[in-house]
Amino acid sequence: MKAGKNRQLIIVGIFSVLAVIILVAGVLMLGEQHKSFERKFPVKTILPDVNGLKVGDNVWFAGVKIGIIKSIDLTDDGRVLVTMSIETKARKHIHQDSYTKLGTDGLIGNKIITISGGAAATPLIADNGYLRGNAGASDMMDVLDSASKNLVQITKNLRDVSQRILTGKGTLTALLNDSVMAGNLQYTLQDAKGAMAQIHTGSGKVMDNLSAFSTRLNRSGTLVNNLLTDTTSYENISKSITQLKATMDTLVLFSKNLKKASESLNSRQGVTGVLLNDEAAAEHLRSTLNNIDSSSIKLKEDLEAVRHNFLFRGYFKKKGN
Amino acid sequence: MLRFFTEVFRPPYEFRETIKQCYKVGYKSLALVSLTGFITGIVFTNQSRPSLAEFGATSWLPGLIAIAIVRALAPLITSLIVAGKVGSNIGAELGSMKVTEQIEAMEVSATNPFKFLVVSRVVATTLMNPLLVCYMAFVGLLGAYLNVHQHEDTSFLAFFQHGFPSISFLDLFASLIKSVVYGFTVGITGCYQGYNATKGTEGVGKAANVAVVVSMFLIFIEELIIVLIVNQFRP
Repeated sequence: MKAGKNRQLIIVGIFSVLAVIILVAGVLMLGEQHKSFERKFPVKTILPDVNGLKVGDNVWFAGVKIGIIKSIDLTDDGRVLVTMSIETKARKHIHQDSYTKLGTDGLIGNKIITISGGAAATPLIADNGYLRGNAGASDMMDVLDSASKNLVQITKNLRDVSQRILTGKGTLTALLNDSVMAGNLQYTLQDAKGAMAQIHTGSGKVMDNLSAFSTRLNRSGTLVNNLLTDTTSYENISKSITQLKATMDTLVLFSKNLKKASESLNSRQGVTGVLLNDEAAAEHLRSTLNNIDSSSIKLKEDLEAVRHNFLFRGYFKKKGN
Repeated sequence: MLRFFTEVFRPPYEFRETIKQCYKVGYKSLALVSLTGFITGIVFTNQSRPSLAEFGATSWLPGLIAIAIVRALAPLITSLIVAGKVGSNIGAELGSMKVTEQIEAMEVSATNPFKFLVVSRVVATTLMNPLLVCYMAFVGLLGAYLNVHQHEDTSFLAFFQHGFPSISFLDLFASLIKSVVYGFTVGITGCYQGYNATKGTEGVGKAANVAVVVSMFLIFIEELIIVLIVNQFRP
């Protein structure tokens, strides 16, 4: 009997402990998901309109949840003071010049506050510090609103167009109602049809020609086929192309040198350039040559005179022997 | 009820009898509660899927199921099962003891029948019901996960990571409070009906029947009141 009582006690104990473990695991998982066990610090922001933001909604930084909305209060000037509870470990990302923006978690999700920006050089936000609220926040609903307005405008335009068609105004109406234009359009279409048929026939011939050409290309023994299939010829051609390239490089170098030489000839800096280009120098040179010419004539005469002089006559007589 | 609160804190304590009742209420109901919870999780998931699928929002299934099971289904269904199984048992047991004058006999033998019979049973239902609710919630979520995994190929981790953010500590706390209140209701109603049974064997059947009906009715009334109170604390 006592053993039975003890067995009941043990079973009840195990049963209770397991249930408590499940409960504690649930609490821990819940705390982990809600980041309830993280150390947090308060940060405030003032927004002109929170658009249904609630206490407990999420605060995001770069798409990551870093806290929740702690309280929402109206200020004296009609704006909204939002106090956020931010994880302490996220403080290193939030600077004093960071700003808050109202957003939406998904298309029809809860409202959220996103924190963005902040220069690295600016000090980090302090406890109960204020972040600038971005009034120009836009979210998915704004985009949808804009899209719906555009849709309304498009529908209105379509209605106007259809009304003009129905009342017989405009080019499109004329196109629809004018029998002459319709007849012309029909002729044009027939012509287009004929042209397309000719193109079709022509394209058939072109295809036949192409087919015959490719057949010839594939026939062995022809020049093109040999070029395409003979690997030895390919190597020779490849070598020739390499040599041709080297020759071309040499030619390019030669032409560069020639260009440089011609430039130096055209320049008045060098001797050749001066001789070719400087007119004053040329004139001077011509004068010098004339002087040399006349000097040589006179020298010849002087030498002839010396030859007949009695002092040198013996020398010239001896040399003549 | 007043007598219960005066007797429960006054020694001597009927520890052995309380453990025995805990064993009967908790352990003996575990299989039934677990099976019911598992089936509830599967059925609820299956029933919810088409509605969410219309909006392409089947990824919200874990959150929806977690809210439904933790907030409402686990405490309510567990308590109704306990009311049906344990409440009727208590009503019939005490009723038969009453009509066969065993309770009077205990009084003559200097045993406090109220402490021995009523306090131990009410304490057992009050303590064991929250534990059964924990099991039910766990097994129910497990059943829901298996169903979601079968259809959406969701991993275990992803299921619980999507499910848990939807529920809050308030939901968990409210669920525990509910299960304590419902457990107390089942115990005290069953004991009251049994302890005050009359008219012989007919009275025993009536006591068991009324214990179940009144318990269930009171559970729904309490559910309504607690939900109204808890919603006052929701942000």
